[in-house]
Amino acid sequence: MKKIKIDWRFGVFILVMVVIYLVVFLFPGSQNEFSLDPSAKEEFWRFGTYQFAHLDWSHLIQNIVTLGLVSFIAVELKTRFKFFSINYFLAGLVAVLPLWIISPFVALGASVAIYSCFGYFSPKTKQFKLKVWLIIIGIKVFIFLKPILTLISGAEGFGFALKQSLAHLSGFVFGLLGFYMFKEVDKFLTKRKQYVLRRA
Amino acid sequence: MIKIPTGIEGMDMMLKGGLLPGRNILLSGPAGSGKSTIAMQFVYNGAQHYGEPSLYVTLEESKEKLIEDMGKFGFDLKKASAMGKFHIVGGPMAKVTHFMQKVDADVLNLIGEIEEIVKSEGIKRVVIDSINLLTMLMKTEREKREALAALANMLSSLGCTTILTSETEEGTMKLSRYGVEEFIVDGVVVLYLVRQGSRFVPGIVVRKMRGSNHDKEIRVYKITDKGVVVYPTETMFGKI
Repeated sequence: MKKIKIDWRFGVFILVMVVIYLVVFLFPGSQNEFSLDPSAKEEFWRFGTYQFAHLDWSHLIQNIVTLGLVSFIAVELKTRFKFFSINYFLAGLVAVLPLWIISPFVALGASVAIYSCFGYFSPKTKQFKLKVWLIIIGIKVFIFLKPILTLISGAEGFGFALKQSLAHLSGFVFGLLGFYMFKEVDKFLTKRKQYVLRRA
Repeated sequence: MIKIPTGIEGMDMMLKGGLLPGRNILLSGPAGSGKSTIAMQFVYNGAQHYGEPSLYVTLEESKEKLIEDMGKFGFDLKKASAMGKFHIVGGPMAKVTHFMQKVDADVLNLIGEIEEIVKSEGIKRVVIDSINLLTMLMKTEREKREALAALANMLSSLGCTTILTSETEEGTMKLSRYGVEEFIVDGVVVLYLVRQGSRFVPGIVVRKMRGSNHDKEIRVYKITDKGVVVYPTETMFGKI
């Protein structure tokens, strides 16, 4: 039987992230201290901390479970850990910014970074002979399911749900662009590696 | 059967016309037996006399030293390079490994680089000098075998006729250093240095040549000021 080699770094990644999320969550007043808050614009460190803070236990557990799923998919799709982790943290840092600058809102949680992983994975599904455009449309529909359902049911909170979905969409688009960017980076690095004999 | 001549005096007679195109040949022998000279003659003649773009990958000597040394045999490698049909890459192993570490490259990247050059320049003749140094970069025998097989398959699939040189220990009858090289090639040519009194007499034999008839005797060869010359009618040992 062929031995399957699993990149243990994904396991370590989940463990480290869960520990950080828990530590930040258990920090007294973490939601106020670490979230990206329009009323605390001068506290620039919040750009780096908001992705680790969570609103409540359900928000935290939901993101931990999804992160586990994302890591599992990453292994299945034979994702390079280096690019996966850079994409994840970079998305958590900057993906939400365009939306936040246009229309500031209180942002916290890892979901933008997590959605960036789905964006990063989408083109990789080609290896399973899946239609990439269909996957992208499917995820987009899923992203906007909540505001659509809120609108249909006439319940309150459509504006908030839409903003949340737009933040997730920005993460997704960031990941999608990240995939193509890292593909080029990978090409460049491989090309560099294949320029040894000519340099020596 | 179409064969490609090596252009080495006497050797094509031993090979009954030359080498089969797209095949990999192991050229083994002890230090100082003339492996690099024979290999260089094969690619240089290919580029200069048979119009076949050729590639020489050195992992032992620097390009400059090789150009200088081969110049003594009358091989103008600089001119051949300038004409675009002859390509020489690589350098001393220490320099190659230094660059490899710098860009985090491995043996497969080197093989990939050779592939890229072969494709882009339309190379038909290749020399890897030496395969020992390439295999030294890998730890296990399995890795050595896999990398050599990958290299040989790649070159064959691209239609290259390749000479892989391998240094053997003096005085042994082994065909290669690690004992794995001969299994992944189509042919094996061995050089010997046989001690006769106070001197060493060089001998050459074609030990294996898949799909092609060849001379089975050990023949005498000499390294002259025009390169290696094989005497295909002279046997190394007299009959008793």
